[in-house]
Amino acid sequence: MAAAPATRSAAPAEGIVLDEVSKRYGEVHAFGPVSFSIEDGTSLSIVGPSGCGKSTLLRILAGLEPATSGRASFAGKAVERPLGDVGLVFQRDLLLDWRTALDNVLLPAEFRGTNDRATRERAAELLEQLGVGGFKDSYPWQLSGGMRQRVAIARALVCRPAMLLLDEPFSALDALTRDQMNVLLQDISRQQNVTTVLITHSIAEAVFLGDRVLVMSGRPGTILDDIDVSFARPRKLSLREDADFTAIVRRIRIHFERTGVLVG
Amino acid sequence: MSSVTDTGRTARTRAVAAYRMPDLAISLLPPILSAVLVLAVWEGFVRLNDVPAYLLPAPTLILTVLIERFDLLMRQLGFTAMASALGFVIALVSGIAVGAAISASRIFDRAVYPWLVISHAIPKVVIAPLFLVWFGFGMTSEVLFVVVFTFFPIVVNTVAGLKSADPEMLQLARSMTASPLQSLWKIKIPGALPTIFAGIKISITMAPVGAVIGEFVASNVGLGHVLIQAVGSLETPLAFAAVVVISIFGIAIWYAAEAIERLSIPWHASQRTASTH
Repeated sequence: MAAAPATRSAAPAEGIVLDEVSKRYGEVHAFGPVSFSIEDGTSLSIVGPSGCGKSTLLRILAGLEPATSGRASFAGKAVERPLGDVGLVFQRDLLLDWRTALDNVLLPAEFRGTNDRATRERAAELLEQLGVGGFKDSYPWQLSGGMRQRVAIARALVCRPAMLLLDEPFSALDALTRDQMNVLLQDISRQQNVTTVLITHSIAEAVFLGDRVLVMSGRPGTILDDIDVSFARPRKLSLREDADFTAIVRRIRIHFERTGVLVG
Repeated sequence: MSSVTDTGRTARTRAVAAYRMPDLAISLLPPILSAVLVLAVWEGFVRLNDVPAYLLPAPTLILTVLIERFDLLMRQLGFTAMASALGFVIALVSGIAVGAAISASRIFDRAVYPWLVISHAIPKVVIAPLFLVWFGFGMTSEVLFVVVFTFFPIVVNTVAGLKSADPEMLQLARSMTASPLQSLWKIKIPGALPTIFAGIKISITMAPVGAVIGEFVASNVGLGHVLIQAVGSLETPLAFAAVVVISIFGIAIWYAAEAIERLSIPWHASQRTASTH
């Protein structure tokens, strides 16, 4: 398995490429070095225990934080600051209380000065596709947690980003809503043909949504496994009871058991 | 889907409206009763003991003077209101600007904040006569005194409001390639408005107080001047009438500030009348 990342890093310069990226905060070695690349238009899930540096990894990809060593690049360009071609979704929806759902979605377009009629139509359309079209004039406090997170996803997608980065986006939602959101995220990222990187604690969520799953170890985070998940899309939630699916889940769980993250 | 929530909201609003009338009566009754009682005891005390008017005028006498001298009082209120408004607006604009600078720059914060605290700690009434020395007799001294009186709460609340912006939200904005100015304008300032309004409501009621004290010292117009003159010539009923006018003015502008607040930040939790969950 150790050889897998090395061969991946030799992939073409398209898409996202991480080359020996690591991060330290003073004495604390957060993660790395890790190397992998993500093909355009695919979904990558990263699953790992708390504190393995996966959120930091995402912030490096978004250009919000510099890597201590190594190089992250996107479409051949080094990512050193926000390039404006990523859409971010955090665990908290971070909607602005004083804006309606639609105006929240349009925030990134306003920052870029591209808030024209076409963009407004696209924003309304995204809300429609995410099942909250009837709430575009509602304020965040009038919406439920799941609805708010849908608005946040629409906001991340409105400027047609090349990458959609999601950091534990559904951790604050109840189990049923979370299942709904998994299906919804699959549909919308297929429709929008956006490269998706999902960070999660949930093994099932990672396998369900990913074309590929990276399993990370505890701090300092390194890549324990790199699994191709080749189930056809669109996937149905019932896939999670499929033997092939549970086999992958088990494979990941065994990694965590072996490294002491989970006690079998 | 939207029709479902719309109906829900309308039903809720109607329920609120149905409760409003008796609620209003119940909430108004105790203060009205207590006011009537206090005034009646006051009136009775003055009449039974034949207290001379220059010591303590009866409420009915104050009301009579208020009506007789209404033109004078309103004209003088005009001067006081003008000084209050001018001073308050200057304090508001400069207070928000200084607050924004403090929250934006750590160096500015370190350099300026201690001076603000010191200036606030100085009893302002004591330095009122100095304003007469520095800025002369008249409107300038008075307006500047109002500024000194009302500046601090606005600055402090602006700083607190701007600094309380969610760091994760600011990071998200940065990922959307927002410039610092855009973040300030679209995220920090709207988010700070509820806190700034809290400061505005403290300041605005202090503005007429500052103006009146300024008029005590450095003016020959305004209600403060009327008050000083009336007390000096033992026209105590007129002094009381002036106090009544100043108080009503203070209450009125407080409610005006509340109304503006309600219009400006209808989204804030404190203003959401229809949502209880």
